Amino acid sequence: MTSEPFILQAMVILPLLGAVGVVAASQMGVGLKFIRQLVLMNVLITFVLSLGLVTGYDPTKVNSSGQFELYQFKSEIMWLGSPSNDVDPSAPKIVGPDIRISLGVDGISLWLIALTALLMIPAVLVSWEAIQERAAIYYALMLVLESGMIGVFASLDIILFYIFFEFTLIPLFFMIGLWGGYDRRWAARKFFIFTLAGSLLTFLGLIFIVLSHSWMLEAMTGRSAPLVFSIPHLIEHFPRLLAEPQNAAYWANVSPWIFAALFAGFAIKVPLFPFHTWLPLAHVEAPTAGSVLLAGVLLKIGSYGFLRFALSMVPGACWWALDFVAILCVIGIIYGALLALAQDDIKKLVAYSSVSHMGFCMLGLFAFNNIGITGGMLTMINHGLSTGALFALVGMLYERYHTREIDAFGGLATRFPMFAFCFIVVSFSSIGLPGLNGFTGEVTALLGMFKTRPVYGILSLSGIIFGAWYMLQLVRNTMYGRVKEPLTEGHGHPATAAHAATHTAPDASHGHAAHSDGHGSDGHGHGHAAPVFATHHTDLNFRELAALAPLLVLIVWIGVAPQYFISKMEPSIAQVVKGLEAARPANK
Amino acid sequence: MLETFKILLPASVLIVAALICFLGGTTKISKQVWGPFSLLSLALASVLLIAMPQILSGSTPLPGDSTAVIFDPLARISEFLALMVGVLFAGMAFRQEADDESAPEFYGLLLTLLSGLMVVSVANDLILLFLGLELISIPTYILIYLGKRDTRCQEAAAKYFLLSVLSAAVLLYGLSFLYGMTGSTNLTTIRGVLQQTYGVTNGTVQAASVSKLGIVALVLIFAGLGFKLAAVPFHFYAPDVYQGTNAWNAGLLSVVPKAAGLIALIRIVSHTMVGYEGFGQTVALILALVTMTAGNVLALLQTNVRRMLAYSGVAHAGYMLVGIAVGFWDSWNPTFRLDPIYGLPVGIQASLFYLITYSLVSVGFFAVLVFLARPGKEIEHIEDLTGLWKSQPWLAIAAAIFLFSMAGIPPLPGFWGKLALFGGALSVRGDLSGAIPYPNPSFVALAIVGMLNAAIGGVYYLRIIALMFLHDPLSTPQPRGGRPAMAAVTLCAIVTIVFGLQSRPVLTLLRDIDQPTAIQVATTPKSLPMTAAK
Repeated sequence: MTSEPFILQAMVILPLLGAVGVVAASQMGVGLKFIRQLVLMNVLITFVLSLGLVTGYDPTKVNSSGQFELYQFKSEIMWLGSPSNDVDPSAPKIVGPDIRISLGVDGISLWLIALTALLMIPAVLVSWEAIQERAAIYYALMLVLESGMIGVFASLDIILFYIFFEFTLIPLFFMIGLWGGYDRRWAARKFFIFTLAGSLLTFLGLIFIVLSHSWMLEAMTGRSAPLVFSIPHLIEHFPRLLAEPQNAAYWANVSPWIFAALFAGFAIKVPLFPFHTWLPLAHVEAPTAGSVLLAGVLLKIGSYGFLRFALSMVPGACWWALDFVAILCVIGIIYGALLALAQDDIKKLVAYSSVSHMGFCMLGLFAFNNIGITGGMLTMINHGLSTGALFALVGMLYERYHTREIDAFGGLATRFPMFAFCFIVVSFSSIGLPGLNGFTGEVTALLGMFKTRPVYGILSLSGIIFGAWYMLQLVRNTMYGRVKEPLTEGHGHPATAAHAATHTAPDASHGHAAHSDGHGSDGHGHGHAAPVFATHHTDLNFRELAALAPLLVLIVWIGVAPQYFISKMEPSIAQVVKGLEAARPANK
Repeated sequence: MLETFKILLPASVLIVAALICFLGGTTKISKQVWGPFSLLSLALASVLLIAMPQILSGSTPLPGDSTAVIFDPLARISEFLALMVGVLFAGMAFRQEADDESAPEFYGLLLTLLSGLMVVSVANDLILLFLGLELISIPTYILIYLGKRDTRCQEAAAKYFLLSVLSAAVLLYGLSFLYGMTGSTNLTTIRGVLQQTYGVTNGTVQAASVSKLGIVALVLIFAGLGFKLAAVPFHFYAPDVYQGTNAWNAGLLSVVPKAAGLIALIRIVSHTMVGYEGFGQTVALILALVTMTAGNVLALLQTNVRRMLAYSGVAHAGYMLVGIAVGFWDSWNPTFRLDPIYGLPVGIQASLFYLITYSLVSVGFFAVLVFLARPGKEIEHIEDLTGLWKSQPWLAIAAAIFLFSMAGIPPLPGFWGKLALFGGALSVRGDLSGAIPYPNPSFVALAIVGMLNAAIGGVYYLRIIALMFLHDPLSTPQPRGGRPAMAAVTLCAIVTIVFGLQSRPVLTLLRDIDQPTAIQVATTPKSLPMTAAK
């Protein structure tokens, strides 16, 4: 039960070093096999470190003044600058950037960091065979992305948070744009620009929070106050400042504007309806690992931003915006589900279901009570697990058949029993079957909303029904019924043959066309598959099972006994709720 | 008098070197020597500049009123900028001009132009300042024409010449009003006179309402220098000229006149025209809004890479004007001095900070274009850069670093520049009477528009990046730029990254800029009220 800050620092730095190592290794002519192992090792070590973080985080830890010590594993390094004293206004102001590399976790970021570290494992494993071209750079980008994502959640400094927030765009842009699907270039640019446009306004909002803090402090103490960028410091001190009536009046006037600025970036990131249009494109075009990380982690940056900044720092404005956001959530839940229902591509279906699920998550957060926010947090984790797993599964299917069309498949349960088992478990988790994780998250989120605004809870219940509808339809059509497999020969997929050849036998020449003879005409390739099909049309192999296993374990674990997870986040959420309750307007 | 010469020493070295170039060009000396020779003279000037505090230490300072030149932090950092830019451009031209007939003239002109920028940096007198600006303009006319000799280029040279002369006339007219009001061409004296007449005592209480003549002067000066900055609506020459000339010239145009314009603006208006802060703030605010929006929106529509960079340069000038506007507010309300944001400067210093970050990446990106150009075949269309990653991986990565910095992606320098500028704009207080000042609506609007502009900027920078990385090359480029251009690219890329991670040295240089120097304060008590408020 140690709280060694180096664990967190290492989690941010290690992937970066790994990225440098991978590029260096490939420059020295090291083969792909070794590079993949190096990457996997790196990701596994980071994951083990995250376990240390999870077990070491003690939610009941009390500091010397008898208060909960929410932020642990804290470390603060000046960015090569000299310290300027934030807290003591009389200290001289020192010129030079003293951006602090200030890291730490609380019960909220803890789980998101662990989720990131966990999802990197399937992300690497699903890329194992799929990425052959310029693989070293691909893995390097992925590791840089991991570092950025962990950094976002671990930052306790507003500027540092923003740096990581924007920095995650660059590796993902290249991952989508270089290794993505047919429309990858447009998808990459749209993703980048949507996110950038919103986040720039968010940045103004964040700076304005800092400025307002300084001004209010100045008005209260009568002395010139420094600009404070420390997130825990701001969260802790705002209530104290707002006790002053004039500060409260000021804050009531400006905080809706701040909320609007924060909303611009985070709502695009989540995404809330109607800012979701970048999402299906980016998810569908991204390579499998990109989709897993995009859905699993990057969307959570939006909801995390709401929780960390909007709900914690401008709670009054959140009450003001409650109905607006909740209506957008409800529309997103229903609209996303309906769109998912209408898709004929499995990956698109999963992408639209994300819009729906993230609506639940945001609805939970905007319930403004313990149970709702806990539900929202659980939904974040659950969605990361189940959607990550779904994208990984779809990727595996695509690797086998090079199509994702729902109509092309049928009866896969008899062809690939393991695959079908995993797919069905994950689908049920996504639907919210009691006993699996989706249920715990969405039900607690909705319970919270029922307490605050029953009407939105009732409306969004229909989203659960739609969710069951499209997922079950998908499962029925692809897993059960008559066995149906896509044709792999002469299918207007000129790339298919060459690709399949590289997948099955990396050393084989690209002109390997012999494998498609007589296959798929009757849909029963099982018996007469040549040895070259060994990995092509068989059930999940060990690597793929290893990618899915940790996700499945957690899906069941959170479904059966979420208490372990909830207990660690409880005090942090209680602090947010305390602030929200204090800011609750009389008429709401 | 001796101090004047001492301060002008680095600039004089360059002028002398330029004269040697011009004279030597007529002899049979190999054309190859002029490149190294000019680099050597730049190095000598740099040494002198670094040693300037020691050179000046022995001499007794003259009263600020009578010095035509001044060596303050602003002068120092601007001169450094000039020399750094000079070294990069001289280096880049090595391959291009080595076997050219006009090599000596070319290097001579470059050195003259740089000395012009250095004169602008140290000038404390309207006439000397104007002289410096002309020393920049006149060689530029010839350089544009020397670049490549087709009709496009002639049109560009003629256009630049005519508009530049017009803007010089407008500027001179404005300066004449300033002289008429105060009876002096010395900036310190002008400032002293204006301080006595219109000096702000406290808050916004003004001793007397300002003269209309000053307003005319201010508008004309903004117009004249707006041309140098390529601020809208004085930007019309920029796209045509950039497109008409070669990458090297366009790169030079994107940096040197902008730097000169900004420094002159700070010298003549921000630091001198006491009493006109309120009006100047409005003018700068509107110019900034229009310039960045028009620049970015028009850049979106371009397909020629230099034309796009011309408009992007217009947009960056708009960002710099944000800092000028904030700086006016800052000196208008000395009791509410703006805090540095995280050690980053605000106001005028932020503008200069942004100028430095912009110059760095702009030189870098133009160096990429210079490297890729062949004689008679420049990179014209942005699609000429398609698939650069496959053929020139390092070059593409460097270009992406420059473009990401221009787009303001952290942690590159462009991000810190934007943080300083727009953070400063947000810190401007609106209603000063209440206990808690509300933010100033016009500056908040400026910041929001600025951020939306940054997003628009992201679109076209990203378009180039996407072309370079995400597409297969259309043809194999045959770069002729050679090692020097590559070295410039590499140097700029490394400095960009280091600067992004640690900008402390630059900030230390910038720290004292908007405070009148020790020399002045000691001898001219007139300027004290402004400094006393700190």
